[in-house]
Amino acid sequence: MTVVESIRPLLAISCPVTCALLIFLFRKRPNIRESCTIIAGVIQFLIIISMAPIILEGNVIKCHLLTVGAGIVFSYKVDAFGLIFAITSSFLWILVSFYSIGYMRALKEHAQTRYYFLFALAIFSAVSIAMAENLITFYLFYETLTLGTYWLVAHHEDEEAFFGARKYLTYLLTSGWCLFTAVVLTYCITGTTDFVGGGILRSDSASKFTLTVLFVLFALGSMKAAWMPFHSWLPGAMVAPTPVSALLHAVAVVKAGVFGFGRIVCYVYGTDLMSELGLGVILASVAAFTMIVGSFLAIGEDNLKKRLAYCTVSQLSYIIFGMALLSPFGVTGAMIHIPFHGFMKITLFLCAGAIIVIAGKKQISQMAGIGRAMPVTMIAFTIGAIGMCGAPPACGFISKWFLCLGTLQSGQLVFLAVILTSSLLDAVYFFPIVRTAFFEKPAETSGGKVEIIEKKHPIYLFMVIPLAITGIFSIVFCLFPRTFYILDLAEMAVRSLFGGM
Amino acid sequence: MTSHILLQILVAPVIASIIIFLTRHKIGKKAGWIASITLLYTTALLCIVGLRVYKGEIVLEKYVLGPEVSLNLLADGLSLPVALIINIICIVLALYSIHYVDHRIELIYGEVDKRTWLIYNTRFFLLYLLFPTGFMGVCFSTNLISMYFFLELLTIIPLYFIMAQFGYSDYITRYKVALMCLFWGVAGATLFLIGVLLAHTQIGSFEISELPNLAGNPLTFWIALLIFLGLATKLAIIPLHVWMPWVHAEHPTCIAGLLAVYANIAAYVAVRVLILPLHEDLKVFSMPILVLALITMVYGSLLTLAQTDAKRFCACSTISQLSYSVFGIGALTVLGIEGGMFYFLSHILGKAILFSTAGILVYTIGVRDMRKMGGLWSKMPVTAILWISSALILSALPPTSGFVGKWMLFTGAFQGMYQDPTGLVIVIVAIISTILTLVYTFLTGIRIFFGPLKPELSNDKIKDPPLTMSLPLLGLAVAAFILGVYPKPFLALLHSVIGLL
Repeated sequence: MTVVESIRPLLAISCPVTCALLIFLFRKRPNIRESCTIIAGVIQFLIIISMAPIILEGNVIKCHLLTVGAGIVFSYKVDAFGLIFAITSSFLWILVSFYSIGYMRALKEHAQTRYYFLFALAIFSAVSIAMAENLITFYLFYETLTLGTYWLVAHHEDEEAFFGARKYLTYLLTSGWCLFTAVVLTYCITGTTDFVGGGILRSDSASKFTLTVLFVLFALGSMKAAWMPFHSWLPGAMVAPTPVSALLHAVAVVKAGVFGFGRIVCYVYGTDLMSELGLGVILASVAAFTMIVGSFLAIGEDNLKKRLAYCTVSQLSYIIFGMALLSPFGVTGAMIHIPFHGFMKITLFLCAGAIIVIAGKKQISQMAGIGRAMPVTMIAFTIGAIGMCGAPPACGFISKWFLCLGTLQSGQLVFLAVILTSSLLDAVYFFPIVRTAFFEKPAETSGGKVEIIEKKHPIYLFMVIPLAITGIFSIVFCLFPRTFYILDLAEMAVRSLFGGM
Repeated sequence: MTSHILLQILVAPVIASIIIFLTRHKIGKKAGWIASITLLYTTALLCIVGLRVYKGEIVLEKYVLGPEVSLNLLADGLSLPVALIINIICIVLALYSIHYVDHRIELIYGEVDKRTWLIYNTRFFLLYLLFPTGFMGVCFSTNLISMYFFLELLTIIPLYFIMAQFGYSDYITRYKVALMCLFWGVAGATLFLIGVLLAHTQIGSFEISELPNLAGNPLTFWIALLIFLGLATKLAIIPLHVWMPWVHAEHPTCIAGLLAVYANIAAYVAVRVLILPLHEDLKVFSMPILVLALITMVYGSLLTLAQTDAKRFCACSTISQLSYSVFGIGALTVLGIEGGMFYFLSHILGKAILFSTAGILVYTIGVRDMRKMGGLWSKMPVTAILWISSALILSALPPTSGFVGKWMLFTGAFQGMYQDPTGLVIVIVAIISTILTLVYTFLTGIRIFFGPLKPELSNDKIKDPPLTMSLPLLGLAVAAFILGVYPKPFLALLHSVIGLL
């Protein structure tokens, strides 16, 4: 593995930072403000995707930022695993910005400058997390992500929003502090905080007790992954505007949590040490528990966004679960589930948002017959729902396939059963929505033809087009999983971790 | 100019103080400026010494006062950074006082004729200038008796007079609290003195450089215990913390920052007098110190959370913050001690800002109850920025100096402890409990500055303070940020002395 020094990571993260400044400068000119976001998003995505060929040749890209001293080194290093996350968040930022224009303007939301500004900062943090070379850099941006998104969650500034935001902050800051503790302890034990494929901890570097405690701290530090019983901040954060729920609580924030798990399992502990300490099985069991219970909680929820939130809780655990299997296929499945779940879940959230804005409905029970009034939205929703259950032709199928192979590869048949049960439960809570939307008659029928309300107003197109695009991508990823180099990168990462499939 | 440089630093404030006294009827308002310029001069001298020390020189000046007692002044890598930061804080608070004292005199003594006003005004500054002398003396002296002299006489007595004359409550309470402060100070000092005299019976000298001869002596335990108890009263370690909230709340805010220095400088004395010379003999104390520090940290933070009075709030926060330094120092590892000292510097910077900001609030609004404040962001943006930066420094978030200090001191604590399960748990609990600082600083900040503006605060009188108050404080904040990004020179200086262990 050769190291390439390059400023590309710095260029990539400078896009959202510059964008944030421009947003602030043009706060009185909404059109310019929002074009800045989109242009910055496109440039950032192009820079990030341009790194993929270099990575696939077997290089890593390094960019040193700042050495403060005594182990505090801030620097970026892009490897295959990090790039997957970076590509996902930067690409979806473009679409969600586009969507936000429609959503925020249609609802005439207040404080839109603050909203776009913090959004840019959140993406900055998420991409920085993806490219962090060591735990310190990771921790720094983990905290900025938490603090920056507080006002996005509290956007409505009413009592409910503040309550949700306070809960959000309480959970995530506590988690940040646990992470900090773990980072300090790791540095103390190993003298480094760099992520190295195969791990930096060794079984002889500290007692078994210490290593286990350290892992518990790391797991608590990854509360952003919403594993049970530390998940309740995520449904609480659904008070945020829908684009925030979509990008942050389906992609950036929660994926930062599971991404952290990936880094810890594969790059700090290493799969060998994990299995030696028996932590893999424990982690997989926690994840399995979350998968099942999360699905049950989703079944009982009538608010569409909250149901999606519980679905996220359950799906995130697929990723943790894949990592915890400690087998090449499992890890591949987990890695590709990060972008694939991101695309599918964002589709679902964007649909939920579109329904709120266009039809004004939040509860599933009110959505009878909405599929006929909003056909594009509900078709996209159906694709997302199919993907969540892991059925073709949506990309959830691919990642679930790898996860199942992973369970077989590590010889854990019980866990295979867990995945299948959980997928079944996913179907239980998604298909009633689809059925209600398409096949039930609306309660107050005006008789005669149903009007297609999606195209009633041009601003709605800003919402419908992005969700159609993400819906299409959910299918494209199934047919061509190498789009945006995703599968190549995952295989590359796994090869460097395990030395082969 | 550069001969007897340390003596100049020590004596210049005293001379300025005498000049102010002699010309008190002429100079009037200029007293504050004279004090500030004198301190600027000594700071410049300190920078010159700093450069020399940084190049590896050790500056030692010898002045014999009498048998056994000498006034030898030593500037090395440990004393110089401490002295420099303290002196900078002294300048800032002197500038801050210029406006503040004016306001206090008016508030306490009402409309007075010009002559009386001048007497009070100059009295404040001539007493104020004794603080820098005392602190510099503590930092530089190499003799235990002269250190005792500077630590006790030069700081407690002006503290008593300033509090008694410029304090907050009515006449009786003011004097009562001032007496209380005096008694606690003297009690601690006496314990310190007994310890020193006991040491003298064993080694026949008061020089700190002779103290290593005590190593292995059966009496060393008791000597160390006495000195430590003496210092612990200043450091407000539980159960010796009783005086702190009273005294801090009673103080005119302009010197409350110095009071934090006064308390925290005991950490420096502990390192200088106990830990460096008697490192091996102190191992027995390590665990009890850590436990006490942990209890104080948690208790202090909880106490702070319960406060509604702006000044008591800061005082209680000092209790818990002091214990961070003590925690690092108590771990007795090189990194821990360096981190503890660095955190000490960071804390006094942050606390000086916090106290003074609280002072600004009390000065402009006229109430101390924080429940009566709210929504002040729109009226006092600079003050809000000051509060937030001090909150960042105190809760040790990157990129402030606090983060570097916290990182180092907890790494050091782990180094000594992680092999032992009890130690591991203590350090972990300690780190996680530091989140309370974040909670109380930001929660209070949000309560004071955000949300709707209280109707009774919406008059035009409420605005940002004059520049002589806010600019110096912003300077301190910048200093803390620089220390957080580029702490290398300071760490190198500290390491040149502490690294010898």
